Amino acid sequence: MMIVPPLWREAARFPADLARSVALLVLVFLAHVGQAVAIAWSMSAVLRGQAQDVLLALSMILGIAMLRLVLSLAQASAAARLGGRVRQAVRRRAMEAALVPERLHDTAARDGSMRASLGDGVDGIDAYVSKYVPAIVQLLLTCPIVVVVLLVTSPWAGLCVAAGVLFALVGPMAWKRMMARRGLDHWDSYEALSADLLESLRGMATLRTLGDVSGTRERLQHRSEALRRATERVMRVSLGETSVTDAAVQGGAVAAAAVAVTHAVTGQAPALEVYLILLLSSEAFRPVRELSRHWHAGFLGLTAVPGLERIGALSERRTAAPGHTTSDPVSDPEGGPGSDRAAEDRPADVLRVRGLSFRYPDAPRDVIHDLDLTARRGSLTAVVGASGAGKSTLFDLLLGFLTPRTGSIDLDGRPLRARDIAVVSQRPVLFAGTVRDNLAVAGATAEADLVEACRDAGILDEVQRFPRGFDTEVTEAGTSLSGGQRQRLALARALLARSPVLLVDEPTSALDADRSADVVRTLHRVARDRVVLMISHRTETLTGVPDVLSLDSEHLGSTS
Amino acid sequence: MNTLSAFRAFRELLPVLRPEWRGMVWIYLLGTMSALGLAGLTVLTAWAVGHAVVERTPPGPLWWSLVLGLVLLRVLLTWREMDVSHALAYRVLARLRMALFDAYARSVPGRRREHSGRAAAVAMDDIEKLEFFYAHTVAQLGASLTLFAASLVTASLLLPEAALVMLLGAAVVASSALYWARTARRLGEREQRERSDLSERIVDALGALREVLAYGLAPRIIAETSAATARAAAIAQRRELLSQLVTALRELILTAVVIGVIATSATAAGVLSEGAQVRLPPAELPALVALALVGIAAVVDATDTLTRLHPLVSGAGRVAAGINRPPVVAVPRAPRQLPAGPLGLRFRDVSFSYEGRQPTLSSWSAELVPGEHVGLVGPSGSGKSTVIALAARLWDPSAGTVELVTADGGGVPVTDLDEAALRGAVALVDQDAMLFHGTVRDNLLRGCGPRSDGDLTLLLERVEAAAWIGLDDELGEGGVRLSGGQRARLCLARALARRPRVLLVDEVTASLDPATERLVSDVIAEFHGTVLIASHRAETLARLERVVDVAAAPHAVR
Repeated sequence: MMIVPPLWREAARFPADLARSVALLVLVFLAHVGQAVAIAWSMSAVLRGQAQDVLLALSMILGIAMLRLVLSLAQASAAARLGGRVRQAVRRRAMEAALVPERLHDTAARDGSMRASLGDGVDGIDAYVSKYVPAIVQLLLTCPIVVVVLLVTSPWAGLCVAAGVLFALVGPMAWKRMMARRGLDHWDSYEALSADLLESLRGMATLRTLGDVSGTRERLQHRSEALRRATERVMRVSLGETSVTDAAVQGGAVAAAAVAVTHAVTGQAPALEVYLILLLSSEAFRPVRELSRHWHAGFLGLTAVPGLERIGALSERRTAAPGHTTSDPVSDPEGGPGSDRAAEDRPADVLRVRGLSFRYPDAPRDVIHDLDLTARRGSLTAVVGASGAGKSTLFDLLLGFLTPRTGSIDLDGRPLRARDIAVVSQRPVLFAGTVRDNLAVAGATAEADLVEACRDAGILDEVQRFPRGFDTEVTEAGTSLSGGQRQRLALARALLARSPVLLVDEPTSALDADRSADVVRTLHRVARDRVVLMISHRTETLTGVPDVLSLDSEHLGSTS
Repeated sequence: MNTLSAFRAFRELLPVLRPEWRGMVWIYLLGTMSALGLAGLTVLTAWAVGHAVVERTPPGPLWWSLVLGLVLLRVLLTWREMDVSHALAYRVLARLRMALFDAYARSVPGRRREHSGRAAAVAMDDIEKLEFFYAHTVAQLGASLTLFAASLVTASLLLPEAALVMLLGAAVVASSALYWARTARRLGEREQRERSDLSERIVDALGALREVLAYGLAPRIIAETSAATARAAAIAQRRELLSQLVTALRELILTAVVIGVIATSATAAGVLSEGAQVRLPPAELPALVALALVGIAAVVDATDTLTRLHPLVSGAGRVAAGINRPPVVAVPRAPRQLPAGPLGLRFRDVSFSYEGRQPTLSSWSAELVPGEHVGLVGPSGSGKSTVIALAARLWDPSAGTVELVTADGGGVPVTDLDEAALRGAVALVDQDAMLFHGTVRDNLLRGCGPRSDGDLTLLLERVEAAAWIGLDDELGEGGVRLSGGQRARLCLARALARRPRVLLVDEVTASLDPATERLVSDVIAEFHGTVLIASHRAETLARLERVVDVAAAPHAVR
């Protein structure tokens, strides 16, 4: 018997499902016991030569078997439901914990490990929650009853069976700690392999051109072997449980048989009781055998539990809103698309940054130091600066992805919120899905709006030349499109979001001169009713921009 | 999908077992002995009880030592069998994972891109699910059948009609392996699809996290995954119900068989009808019933195993398909090495088309003499990136050849080259180049011979990165904390660390600030080798010796 407290808590969150699952399990078990009694009766009837009783007993056996069929179906359904609901709840919490801004700058974060936790990790707990937990409750409820009945029939048989069951349950606890330690190793190596594998699949083109396929293969082989060894080690401990259970079950049954034989030989009991002792002691071990079977099906899934706990998937989590954003986009349901967007659809006038400083936790100095900046609706505001001067960091600060060390960011006198902003990043990423899905991130959008936004972003003619227009599938991360196409689709997406603030990072970097001029014209026009802040290096995009701020030597200075 | 193609899916996965045949035989022997041990234990117990009840004689010391010995033996054998079979299965899974990686390394990026989240789901989740197939199927089916045969023979010696009932019962039980098999396979397929959809969605959301957060998409994605989980759970519930139904039916059949055996043997023992001929002593009755039960239970086990394979068919099919993916580049039969000295590049009537699209290139030709720096221009989507990808041999052209040209003008087709020789000579920097998790040093040394830290530091200085990053700094996946310009500098440094003879550059200067752009152009201009740059930036192109138009009418090689 292995108790994993966090999973018990998860199961207990759905008391009705758990109770139904356990109750039906008890009924199924009682049907088994009833059948055992009927078989014992039929055997003794056969020996006594009472044909009437034999037929009656046989039809009882059959009837109970039919009843059990129905009960076990209902039980399977209830158990699967419990498992499904727990999985859903845990995955929801795990996703909430995964989609947070902290990940954006975390050099230790690995998408493949997270994928493993969110996918297999969550699915893995199903067997324990839906099968093992109800089985333990049922065992604790019913085994004592059977043992008591046996004690009444034959004290020795009852004692033997009780000892066997106890040994089977308590024995494996001896190496619980070892199991936990090895489980941790197993999940760590599973995550590590998953992380390296996903990374190499994503970067296979790079790996091939670098000629590093064989090097990567070696690394993966190493990881894969580590996983194999770790799995083997977990399996060996788990088999300990199986063996102990097996020994207890066999030993208990043989002991009960010996008692029954002694009874029969010494003439203390009629045949019925002898068979009853035998069959009931076998039934008493049934829940133990079931438990062992469920354990075997679920033990590997349990290794993910510490990992899930680490990311906070097994506890209710309140996200503290980072920085100035009073509502971060994850925990705030209103941060999502839909009707709230429309309410935010009114223009704002001034975006004001005062005394902003930021440094990465392990960095010796500020990336951005005491920065002041004002961007107004009506005309384009540009920020220029050398590579690494902190432009991207500034954007992440504005978006609330980073928490400033000092300073404030206000929109019309109130703190800027993530949902006030639409953004076109330097290397925009599109999702796997259609062009339309990618554009309409803010919810359902009319065709006319799509067309207009695409025209403004200078991508309409190309979209219309795609084989299926707006319904053309975009591959993972948008790699089926050129860098320029990705950039302009991202601009169209940002235009459609209709937020009061538009942040644009290098909007024309992948465009030729004509298209670049179109896009800049569009931005000038958009700036009439939104605050538009643009990062740019290109002198041609800066002509006609009244406010050009240079982000160098750690502070901004107007150069216009 | 019918039973035959399901069978085929698993058959494709059997060859990986070949090196393990000794282990399989060993598992079969262990499993058979263990099953026979349990059978012996059951029969012996029933025999003792029968004699005790009918004749009131206790079993002798031989019985006791046999029973205790069998209990011990059984525990040991079961443990050993599980241990050996699981260890074997894990070895096979590890081998499958590497076979799948090799297949992907030969076939990714395909002309038709596959989502890495799906590929990862096949390599991790689907393979993991095959543990059941490798650990519990082949040898165990053999052991079960052996046990059944043994008990059938014994029963037929004791009482032929009881053996007949057993045989009939076993046939009915075995037929249950096919009940609702199609539905089970379909449910398994849908579950597998949900799993790989989920994997895709998660990988997408994590890969585009900045966009997801900026547009407040997180709640929507969480709601979608939650709905997908509910869907998967509903499918799992139906699968469970189905398997429970089949199991319950099987138990019902088993019960009927037990009743049949009891009735037949009771008749034979003369306990049911007075005065009938007694062909079996009543004391042996329990032993015979136990024997029949043991035999049928073995068939039940085997059938149960087969039933549990149905939902795995679709995953098995995916893994098999993954391993047999067609490669995107042909492996040369006799790989050639490259002569020393400078190399040029020649495209001879090259054609290429992406799946289901108009040909991107048709009979396109161009030549770069060794040491020449050439620009590649053309409107968006005209095939610049394709030309670069063909030169980097990410794909083979559908017609024509790409050759590396030696100083004397002789050409070596890249398709004939040894992989390591080609990668050692040609380097690529493009806008999708990835930086990998690990330190800067790890990244610079990927696929590169040994280089001293001094060399690498010089490279970092050359791309003017030494001021903001050191060799021991962790980059994180994709260089999370770096800006586009910083990433481009590191990717360029990584390409140069390999001291290539041909440098291919795709649009890399486009997204850079003027300082980085100038620097990259400077570094490339100083590069003593052949350079082909796809770009539309006038500043970049101005510094090259010559410009080739990818959209120009086909022309012959000079």
